[in-house]
Amino acid sequence: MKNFALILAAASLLLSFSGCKEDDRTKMDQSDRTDYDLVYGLRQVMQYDPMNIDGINIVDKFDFFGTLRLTIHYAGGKISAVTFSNGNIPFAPVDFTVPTEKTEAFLDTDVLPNVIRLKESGKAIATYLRGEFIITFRLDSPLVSYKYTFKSVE
Amino acid sequence: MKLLKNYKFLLAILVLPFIVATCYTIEEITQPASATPNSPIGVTVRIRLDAETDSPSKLIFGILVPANWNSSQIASMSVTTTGANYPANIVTNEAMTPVGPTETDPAIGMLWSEAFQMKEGLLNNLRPMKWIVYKSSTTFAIHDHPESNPGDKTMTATVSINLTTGAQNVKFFMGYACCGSHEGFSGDRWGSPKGRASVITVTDGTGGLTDYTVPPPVSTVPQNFGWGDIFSVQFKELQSALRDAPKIYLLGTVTYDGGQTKTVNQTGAKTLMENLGEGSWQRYIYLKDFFDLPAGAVVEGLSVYFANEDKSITVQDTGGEFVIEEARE
Repeated sequence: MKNFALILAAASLLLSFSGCKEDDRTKMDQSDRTDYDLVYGLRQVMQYDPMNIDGINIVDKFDFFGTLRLTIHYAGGKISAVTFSNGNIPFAPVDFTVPTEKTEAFLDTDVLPNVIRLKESGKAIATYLRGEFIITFRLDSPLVSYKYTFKSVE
Repeated sequence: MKLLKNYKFLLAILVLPFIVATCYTIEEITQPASATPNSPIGVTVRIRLDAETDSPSKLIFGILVPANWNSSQIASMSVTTTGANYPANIVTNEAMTPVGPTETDPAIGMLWSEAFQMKEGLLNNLRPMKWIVYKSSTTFAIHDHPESNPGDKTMTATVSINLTTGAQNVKFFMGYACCGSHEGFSGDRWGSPKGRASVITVTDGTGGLTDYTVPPPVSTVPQNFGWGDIFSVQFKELQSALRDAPKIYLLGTVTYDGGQTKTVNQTGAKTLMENLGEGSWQRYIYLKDFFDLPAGAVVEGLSVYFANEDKSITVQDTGGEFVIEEARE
């Protein structure tokens, strides 16, 4: 009986692992290839304010959030460029114009957390934090902030 | 005997946080219950300062007012102490000044107004409010052992506030809270909100009475936002003509760029509200997208109303569409 319970527990554990959708997250590619592109869309759009300090996920409240694409280009196993398409979103998450074409970029590991910077301007476009790419920004009120979290869409 | 000692020790541990937490206690508020619009009123708040740490502090004092009131409506604020023996603690009508725009609470690292909002909340108000925070220039020395440290063990500070009411008819809980600049809203020392509030009604002003003390039929999330933010308009239909409607739509008018208006009055996917249950509905909007405003448009106002699918039933405010107010800070 004890053995049966042990087997059942082990099976449950395996099933629970299989339920974790690692490919939904923004882990960097773990394969052996060195030159490739990863395309990301928005997994979460969190809105924070003093009354909602844990944030509210509003990604499903607007269809336009589904149209954003961030493509990260890897060369030699390192981030070499990004392509950013804001889609139909009527505002931008950064206060500078991001080129819509493929633009040289790199992962700045001299700062913590690491950030992806555009090579020419040095502007940070996304932060790499706890295994995910994020962008934090404000739109208007200083009390209200937003955080994009990305997922792989390919 | 040993058991008794342990018991006393435990009791001391249990009581200590309470003692610590009562270092700044609002004892009395003297405030008019009613006022007329754009008129000066005077308020006094008596605070007892008790020894609990040996950390000299400036008095940090917050007043909670409707979010659409302007900071400049606080004409002056001053503090007078009584019961103090230590010369430096004795002040009479010392002018208090607004905390700096970048000054933060030392315990939680937030701007003072945000810290008051987080720790003291809205004190039973149900519409957007804001904390306006002032500080004393004197650093008050309060010590457990004034015989060996310069300072007083306890004293009273009375804060006098002169302010001008707003233009609108409004009823709300005017709130007051305070802490010391050195400890701030220290999480270990600060439990439940300690602010106090007193109702004031401003009448004979513009428009109908906006009552902050009862749940509004229309509200927003976040409560405080700018026109350039995303926000949801929430509607409680329980008492309205739409209470049996299977679908409810958000319609309205935006004013922008010097009085131009644009209206959304079609029911459809764009205006369909989300049923939150228990009679509550919401619709998240981004104004420039919802009203298809030109890029760079400067929004000046928003009013909304609610309708069923064929618009045979609509719900508006008493004087027309519900007015949504921007409250950026």
